[in-house]
Amino acid sequence: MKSVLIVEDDEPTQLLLVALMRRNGLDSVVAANGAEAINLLMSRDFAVVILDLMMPTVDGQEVIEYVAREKETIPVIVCTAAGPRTTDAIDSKVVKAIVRKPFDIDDLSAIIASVTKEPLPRG
Amino acid sequence: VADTGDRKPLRSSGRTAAIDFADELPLFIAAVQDYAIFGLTESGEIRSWNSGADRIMGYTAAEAVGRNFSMFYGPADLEARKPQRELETARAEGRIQDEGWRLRKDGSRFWANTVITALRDGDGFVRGFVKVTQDLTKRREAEESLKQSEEIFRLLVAAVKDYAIFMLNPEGLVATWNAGAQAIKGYAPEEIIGRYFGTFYSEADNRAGKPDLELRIARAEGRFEEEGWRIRKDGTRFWANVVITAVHDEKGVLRGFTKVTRDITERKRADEVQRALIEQREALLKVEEEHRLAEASYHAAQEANRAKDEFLMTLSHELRTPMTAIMGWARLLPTLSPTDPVVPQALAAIARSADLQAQLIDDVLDVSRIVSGKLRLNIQEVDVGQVLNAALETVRPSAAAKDITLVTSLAGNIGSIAADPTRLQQMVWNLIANAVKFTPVGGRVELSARRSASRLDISVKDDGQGIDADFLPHIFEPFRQAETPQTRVHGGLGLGLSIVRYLIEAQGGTVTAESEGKGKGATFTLMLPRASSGKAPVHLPTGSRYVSEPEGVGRKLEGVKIVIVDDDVETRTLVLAALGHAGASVRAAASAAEALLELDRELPDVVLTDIAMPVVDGYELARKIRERSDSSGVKVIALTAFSTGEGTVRQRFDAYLNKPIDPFSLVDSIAAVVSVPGDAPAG
Repeated sequence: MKSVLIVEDDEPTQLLLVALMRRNGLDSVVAANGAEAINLLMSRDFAVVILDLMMPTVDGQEVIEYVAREKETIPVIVCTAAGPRTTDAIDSKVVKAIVRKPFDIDDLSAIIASVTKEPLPRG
Repeated sequence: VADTGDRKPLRSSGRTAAIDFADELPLFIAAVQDYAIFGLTESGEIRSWNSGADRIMGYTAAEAVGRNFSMFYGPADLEARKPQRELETARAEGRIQDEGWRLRKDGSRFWANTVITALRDGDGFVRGFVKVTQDLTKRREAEESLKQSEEIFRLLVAAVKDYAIFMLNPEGLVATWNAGAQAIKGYAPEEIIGRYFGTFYSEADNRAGKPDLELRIARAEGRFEEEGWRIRKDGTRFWANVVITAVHDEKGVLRGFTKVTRDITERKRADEVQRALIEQREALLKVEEEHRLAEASYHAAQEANRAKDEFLMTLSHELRTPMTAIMGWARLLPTLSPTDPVVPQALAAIARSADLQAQLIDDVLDVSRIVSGKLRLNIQEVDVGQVLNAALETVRPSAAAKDITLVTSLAGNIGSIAADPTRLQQMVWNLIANAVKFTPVGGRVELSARRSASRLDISVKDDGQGIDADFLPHIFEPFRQAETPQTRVHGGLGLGLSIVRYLIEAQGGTVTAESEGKGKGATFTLMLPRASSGKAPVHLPTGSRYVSEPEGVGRKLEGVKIVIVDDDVETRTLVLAALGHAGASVRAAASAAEALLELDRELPDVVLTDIAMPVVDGYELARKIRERSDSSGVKVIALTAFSTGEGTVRQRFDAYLNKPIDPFSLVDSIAAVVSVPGDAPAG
């Protein structure tokens, strides 16, 4: 099973997502901004990208565009605290789900499972 | 002795010796040039002729002598037998004087003043006449022209229609009246001449003695001029320009007054119309200006609205972000093994996120208080060094996380200053936290302070990303951040610096920002004027306001009986745990009614109550407790998330504590209230 790419600039949330993936039996790699994420995407493949939108340097939208252009098989789950005005503007077939922060960890787990076609872990 | 040698030779002038005036009289007469003097017989025949007669009449003696003097009279005089009648009169009365036209030899007229004197012999019989004639043509011409010009002037005055020109006698009675006066005032001359000129004034003016006053002024100053309402014969008013001039004779005696009055009602009306037009135009310009201002303020409001929208979006985002970690961890932690090494990290992450969120809410509330004018300062003497260190300590963990060197440079003894200690620490903390936030890993932030006789300067200098020159002027405006929400490098609401500016200005100081530009670092300087409050310095707790150190809590509330009243079960649970941990004996009540039942069972030392509760709120509960005869030893403490109504809270409660609750400071606060002896509630 390929790793999950977590693109998130808020450290407590990074920690949470890593722990959640670990509990779900998934390996994960963290990118603190869009630029780091694109670097990682260029070097390897991921099962799914969990993507924050508002980040320094290179924002989530650019990551979406990169994935759509270069890695269209990798599903993207947008996970953002931004409001509908921002998320309504997202229009890309690589974005499979939009999860609003704060999210329910079980909901997010279910979405990841459905997107990656991996069975849900117990718990 | 008159030398007559060069004169025309006189008849019988054979002698050159001294003149015997009696003998020589005929010689003198002959020499007189200015008067025609000639002798007449009883019938008027000319017998003698002097040189003056030559000059005036144009005849030589030879031509004149022997002819009748009637040749000097014109046909009309002759027809009236004037020459004969004059001789008869002279004969009867001894002399006759006359003025009239006479004829010269060349037929031209001259205006003559003539005196014919009868000459009598020793017996009294008239033997002839002497006639003396003076040519007064020039004088008469002057008189005529004067008379003519006076007449012209009189006619002119009389004919002037646009000006009322008339004379008043010294008492103010109308003496003359022109056509203009009649036209303007409506009186015919016979109706008005002899009447007092007060007739032209309103009753009120007359009662006030205005007409007399005007004459007194004209008399004293020579002239009086004014504009005002006057009354026509028909009672209508007109707006008059009036000039009254005092007229004195050559001896300085007042002879009366000339009064010149113009009806300028139309002009006044025109002036008023023009003034109205100007006013209208000014009003229009004003309206346009107001419209322009309204438009500008509309655009400003739109801009402010847009900024607020953006702010709300940001606020939502910034509040949701720490919520994500708090809620996520709250759900995830129970599913993990207690020995999982991530647990302590998770707890620290929750604390950090909660701290951040509380800070955001505090900022929003501060701005709300500032905007509504409800922010209160508690000015007292503050130990500056202590405040600076406290602020620094608060930031130290985040600086350490980014490997940023914190440097302090306090020049000598900084001493104390009058300020709100909490707010001063908040400002300094805000500037240092900002500097840390905008300085890359491994950077340097320097806090320095310097005092002079009149002020205290506190500077925070970093070598971080600096401030763009375009943004620098706006850096203290609320809701402003250099980045747009989508690309922001740094979280936060963009309120911190606007709060700092408000707080420092409310304390009479200033805050300035300097930066050489992007990538060149920034320096923020607080300047506080020095004015001692005369109070003792206060000391502040250090460290985070929301996550205190657990050590030191001890059993501070050992044996203290507490009833906690809150309709929120989570709050009750947290408070029960925290206070119980500190040794207190705690009972919980979910409503005011339950709380009163608890009081009936056993009186506690402290009632800790929420304010907003269904049915009976905290205020009402406090009142009911106060009403009990046995409750004098019970301290009532409010626990509220409300930031407004602090005054009311202070009055009704022994203390008030703000939510969110920090369990450790809650213990400290209750311990402080309990340690205060006394039975009567404050307020």
